[in-house]
Amino acid sequence: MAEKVALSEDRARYLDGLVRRGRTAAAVFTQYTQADVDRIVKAMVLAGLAKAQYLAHLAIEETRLGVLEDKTIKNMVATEFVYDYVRDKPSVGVIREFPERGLTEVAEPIGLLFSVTPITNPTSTVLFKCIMAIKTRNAVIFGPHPKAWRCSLAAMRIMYEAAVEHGAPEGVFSCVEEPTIADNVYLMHHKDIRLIDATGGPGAVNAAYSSGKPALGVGAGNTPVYLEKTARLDMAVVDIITSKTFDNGTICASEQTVVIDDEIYDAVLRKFAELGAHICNAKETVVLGQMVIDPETGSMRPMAVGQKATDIARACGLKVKPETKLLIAPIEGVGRQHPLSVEKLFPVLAVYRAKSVDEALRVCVDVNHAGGLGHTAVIFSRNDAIIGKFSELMNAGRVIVNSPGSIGALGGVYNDMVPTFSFGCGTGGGNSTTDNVNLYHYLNIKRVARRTQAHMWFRVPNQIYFNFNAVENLRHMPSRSTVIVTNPHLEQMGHVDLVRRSLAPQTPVRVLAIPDAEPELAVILEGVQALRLQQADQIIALGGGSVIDAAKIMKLKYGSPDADLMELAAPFLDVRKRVMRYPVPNGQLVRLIAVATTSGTGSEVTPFAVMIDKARGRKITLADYSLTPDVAIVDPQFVMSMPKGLTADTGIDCLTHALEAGVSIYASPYTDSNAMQAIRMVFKYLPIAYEQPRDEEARSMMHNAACIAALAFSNASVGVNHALAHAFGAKFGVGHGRANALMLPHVLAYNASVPTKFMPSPNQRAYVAHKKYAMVADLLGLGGDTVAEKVKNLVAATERLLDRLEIPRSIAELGIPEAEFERAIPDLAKIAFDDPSWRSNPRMPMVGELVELLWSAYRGRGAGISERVAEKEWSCV
Amino acid sequence: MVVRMTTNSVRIEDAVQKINGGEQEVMLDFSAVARIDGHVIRALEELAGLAEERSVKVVLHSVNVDIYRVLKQLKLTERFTF
Repeated sequence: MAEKVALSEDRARYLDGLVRRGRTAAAVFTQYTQADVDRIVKAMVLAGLAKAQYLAHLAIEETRLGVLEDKTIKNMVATEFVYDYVRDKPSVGVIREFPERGLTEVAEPIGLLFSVTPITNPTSTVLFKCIMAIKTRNAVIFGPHPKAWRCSLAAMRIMYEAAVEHGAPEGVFSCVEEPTIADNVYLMHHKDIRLIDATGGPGAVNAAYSSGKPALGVGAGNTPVYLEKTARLDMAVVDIITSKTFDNGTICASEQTVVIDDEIYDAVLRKFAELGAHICNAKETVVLGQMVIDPETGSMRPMAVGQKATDIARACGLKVKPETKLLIAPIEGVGRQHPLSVEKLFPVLAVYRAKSVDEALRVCVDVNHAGGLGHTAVIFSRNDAIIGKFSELMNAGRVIVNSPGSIGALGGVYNDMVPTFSFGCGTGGGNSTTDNVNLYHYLNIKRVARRTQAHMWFRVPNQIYFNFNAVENLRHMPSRSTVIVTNPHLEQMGHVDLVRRSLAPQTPVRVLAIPDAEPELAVILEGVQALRLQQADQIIALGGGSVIDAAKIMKLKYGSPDADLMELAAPFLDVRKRVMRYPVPNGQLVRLIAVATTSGTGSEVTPFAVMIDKARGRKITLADYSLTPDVAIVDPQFVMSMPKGLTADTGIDCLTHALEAGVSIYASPYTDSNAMQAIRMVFKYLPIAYEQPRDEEARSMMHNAACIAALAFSNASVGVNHALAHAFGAKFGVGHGRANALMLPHVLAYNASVPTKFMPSPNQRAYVAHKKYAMVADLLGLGGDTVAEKVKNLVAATERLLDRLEIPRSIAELGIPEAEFERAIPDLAKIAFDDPSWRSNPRMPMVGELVELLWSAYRGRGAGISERVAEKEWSCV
Repeated sequence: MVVRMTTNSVRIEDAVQKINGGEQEVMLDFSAVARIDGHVIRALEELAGLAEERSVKVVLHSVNVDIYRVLKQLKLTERFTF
């Protein structure tokens, strides 16, 4: 944490004045348009370009660092290249739009920035930051390096005058004159400074981050270079010399230690020497290290920073040719024992001879970690694998490939990186970004997110055959080997023979009779084995939900033997975003034909399958459209002999599917049409099928209704009724259809009342469950003038239907003692809440509400219903 | 006081005179002002100071929302009535 340093009152007043002006300018600036900003930026850039050499002179004169020509180039890059990057980029108002995603990005200025600038690149950094600030409608107070404040101030003034002349707010830039560390600390903590942008040494960067303000702090590096044997050596050597001698090595991205493969080491050093480098011998290396690196701190001495190679050599007592550009010092390791392995912002370059790629990479990692984390790394190579490995290993915001480090890192010259004078070093360097700092870091970018509609679907089997004798369509489905999965009871009833007779002649068939219960894992695996033995290309699932579900899972395991059923059963909230993806079959392709022998589950067209894992004592529900049978056969001749009780229970299951799909948050016009039709058919034909089991029309219509309702809930899912029925049915051994029936009137009333919690649902524009129920009432001709009346009538009609089917109307009537039920209720509510079925329910059930619903169902016959329906006058019309 | 504005029909100096003349409520019409600059802000700051000293209510009328946000950022909205 930076300590606050006492300031004189006058000094504080002076700094407060700068802040006040800047703050006002920033506020005024918010009114400017993109055109205003772009006009001002262009004028500033032209002014900066015109004064590039003048400012370079000033910088050299004041700092005594660097090279005039190079500083001039830097000033030109900071204006022209930066302008080239920002000129066409929107920075006011809407800056980016993604219409297909409903997203718009809107730029918001930050306000007043305090910007610390370095001694090494004083004028170019100020030019760059001024352009960024105006482009983004921010005001800046510059805190220049104390030994570079005059040239920094001059650069700022050139920018400021051009800016104000072209309409920028007065006071938009200011610069602390005769700055001190105390000034920086004061401003970094000033309440009206919105962002600190610190480019400089670790001290300034740490102080910025310690201030508690948002900060961009970018600082020191120690660039490793790997010169790998496949590199173009001539290019590499020229690039390294160009970069390391640029402005006498003052750019912090410049090369510090070059690690050279053994095979090319001597040739590389010869080339360096030919082009004006002095290769130090061992003794010279030691002397150089002692002179330019402070042994106490292990850091470079200021006397060497930004100086010419010949001047450094002279200071160290080394004899070098007058044209020497660069001093090259061979080192044998990295760390305090090898002083030249650290950052050297002057034309002294360490080199290391590596015996192998591994050794070279290891030394580069060492250099990277010796003060260069997050900054820059360079590689010269034509081996993509080694470039890739190097990029993985380096903790660097910039990995520069086959080009000079310093100029490469600046961006826009040797590569397509964003031009900058501020290198983000990521968390490795204690920074908040690894980016080349640019205009987007000077903006608060607001995301305007418009409501989108989730993609919906309506997925059904490829073919559905229905009506009497629909099974004969099997004849047109050729197969080399068919396995009929069924249960012994259906086999005895002759249904299997009927199917056999309907197959194409000479179709090889094997019958696999499995127990008539929810399938167990062991049964499934035996079935898969049978499919393999038969090399089946067709499975015919002949039965109710259990048999068809078993066949679906067999098909899955047959096509994808490695599929882990437990993993695939992982819970999910949205099928499109689920963690576990179902496998694409990599084994035998097989057609699954489902022939339904009950009129309720609709499993012949659904993407769901339930099985039991006895070993683990759990029920596994699988859900994926890949489970949907390829062909469904809805032939009523298979249900003509269904017992009365089963007819009633499965019929109510079908009704529950349709009613829940109808009000589901995934309901769509596609599912609604099916749901409504199924409801209409159930109310009309279920009592007839129950009371006159041989009535062919009623049986046929109920068989179709079950399938049609399943088409709806396969795509819209079910709701809280199913969640409760699953929990309660499993606990007390009550069949699924009957458990649904016991809950149904209560859930209708519940969904029709004002939700305690709405379900988040982008596809629903209002809560419509009660209106949907009213629509059902209209469809059934139940009467009623208001939505509330219609809902009441629907609930009453449902109760009448249940009575007519002789279904017990309360859980108590099943003989379950109240005390036992009371004990079970907390667990039942929790289990129901864990059940995925309710996730598509129109209202989100609270656990307490589930308890209430269970009690209502226990007591039965209207308990709690009338109150709920009465409540729902809330938005009836 | 010289008031220089980008688009200005507001006469802040008139408001100052009215306050000095003893009026208890002064209204400034911003309906023709599209944008304000630093000079207007300084003038408004001074006007606010004077009004507070004399307990005079100053109403800024028809201030567009961009200008309102500038005043908000500078904490000037709490010193005027809108």
